Amino acid sequence: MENILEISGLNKSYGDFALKDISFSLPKGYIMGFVGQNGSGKTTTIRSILNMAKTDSGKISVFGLDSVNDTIEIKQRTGVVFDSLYLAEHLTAKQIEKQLKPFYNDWQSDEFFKRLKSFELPDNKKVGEFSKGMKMKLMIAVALSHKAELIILDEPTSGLDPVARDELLDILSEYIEDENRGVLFSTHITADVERIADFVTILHNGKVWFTGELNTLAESYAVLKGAEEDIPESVKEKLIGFHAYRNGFEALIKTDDLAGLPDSLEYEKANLDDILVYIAKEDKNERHAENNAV
Amino acid sequence: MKDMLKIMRFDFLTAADTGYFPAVFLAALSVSGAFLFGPGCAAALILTSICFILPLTSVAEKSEFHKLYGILPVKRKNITRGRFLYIFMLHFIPEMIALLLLKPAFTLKAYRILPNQGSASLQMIENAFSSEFRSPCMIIFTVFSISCFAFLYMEFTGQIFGHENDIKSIMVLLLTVTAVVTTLTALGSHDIIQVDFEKIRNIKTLTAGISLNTLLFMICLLLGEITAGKVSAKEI
Repeated sequence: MENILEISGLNKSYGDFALKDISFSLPKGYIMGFVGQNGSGKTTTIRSILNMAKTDSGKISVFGLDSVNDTIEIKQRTGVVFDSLYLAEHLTAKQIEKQLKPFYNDWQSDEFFKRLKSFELPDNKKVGEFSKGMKMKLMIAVALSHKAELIILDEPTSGLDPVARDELLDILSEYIEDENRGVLFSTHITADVERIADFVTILHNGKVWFTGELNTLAESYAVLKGAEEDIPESVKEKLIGFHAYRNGFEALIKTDDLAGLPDSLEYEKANLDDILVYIAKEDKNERHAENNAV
Repeated sequence: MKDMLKIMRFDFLTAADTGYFPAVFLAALSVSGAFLFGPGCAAALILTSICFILPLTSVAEKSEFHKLYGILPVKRKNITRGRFLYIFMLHFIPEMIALLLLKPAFTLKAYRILPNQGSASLQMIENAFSSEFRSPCMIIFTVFSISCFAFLYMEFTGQIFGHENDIKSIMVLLLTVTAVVTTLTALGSHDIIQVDFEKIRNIKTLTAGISLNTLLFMICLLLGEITAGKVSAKEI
């Protein structure tokens, strides 16, 4: 599989936050969900891909091109959707088209207006008066009008109502039907990722916690429940995000570690939401343990 | 250069809807109008026209353009250079329109259409109009040049230190200019330096206009280059 996006050994630090050895790749023809808690480093990674942030070390290549040296060529072929509109709010879609057209070699005005029509966006209304869903669609229309081969979306569905979210996901699914394209989709709404993504990368505290196929992730983890005293000593340290309740415990566990567990312990398939929650709980447990040790 | 022109066009189109074109005409009309009604009110009207230009230079701050600049396929240095060029053109265009409008107003002695001919104030205007055409032209060149320099300077300090410090930057500029003028005047009054005002008065209008605009264009390129160097190192 040819990769449309490849990041290897990306490091960047500023203040008390750092991206540590980020590596993942997105093959052509697929959608990757890029998930993690707020502040996990998703936006910084995206800004690094777009050469908006300087990296300390590591290599980012898009379409096989270097993200720093070939940034202009990459931006010609990349569409970006941010969580908020980056266009002039006091202008109409028609005026914005006029503004952006000269920047892109492959800009197609027909395509832009066709998209506006299909997304039911008025071309003579100030875009600042658009709803959030309409603004997202406008940014996608811009991306599709210059034949973007890769679309990067940074939290596009946050703040959208379910209908607008559904529409956006449908647009992305339709876009990816051309197998030469790719989508990197950062969000903390895991249901969206589970609906359309083929691959997922989970960031946690600036590190890649998991990267790979979504199906693999779903098959790799389970939520274990039962009485705390039934947990074998050898398994205890393998539990992620262990949380004891009055009537028992819950924790995330790798499916490989399920073998040999007593029947009194129950488990069920973990979804992406569960995984993110248990990763966060594990973090809390570690901090708690550190505090107790002090 | 192509990228700089694209950015300049982008900024003009952004400003177009915030009233750039009405502002250009207002600026031009107020300048020519100023000479219709006499040099006395010229300063006030010219300052008013500059106030119309002021909000047009801050178009980028109105939207989240820092993000857009991050994704446009243009070198970041050219984005900054383009903005300086935009500010220069924002002054150069109304300056040219004002000159074009002033010529017929002056030639036709348009003040004669005003009522109360023969009054003392009209007599003053008539006296002003009987002077050479070059003096009002010089006022236009000078006023637009000062305004252009101030805006270029504000963009320079604003991009490097943040636009929230614009007032501070303008105060520093005013104090510097005041200090320089006071020093020169003091030195001149004690015959330490001698300024040949006669020579200055004899400079041809066209030469002065071209020189001032060329000088400003050079300043625009220089400040644009310095700012681009500083700003491109910053993250978006």
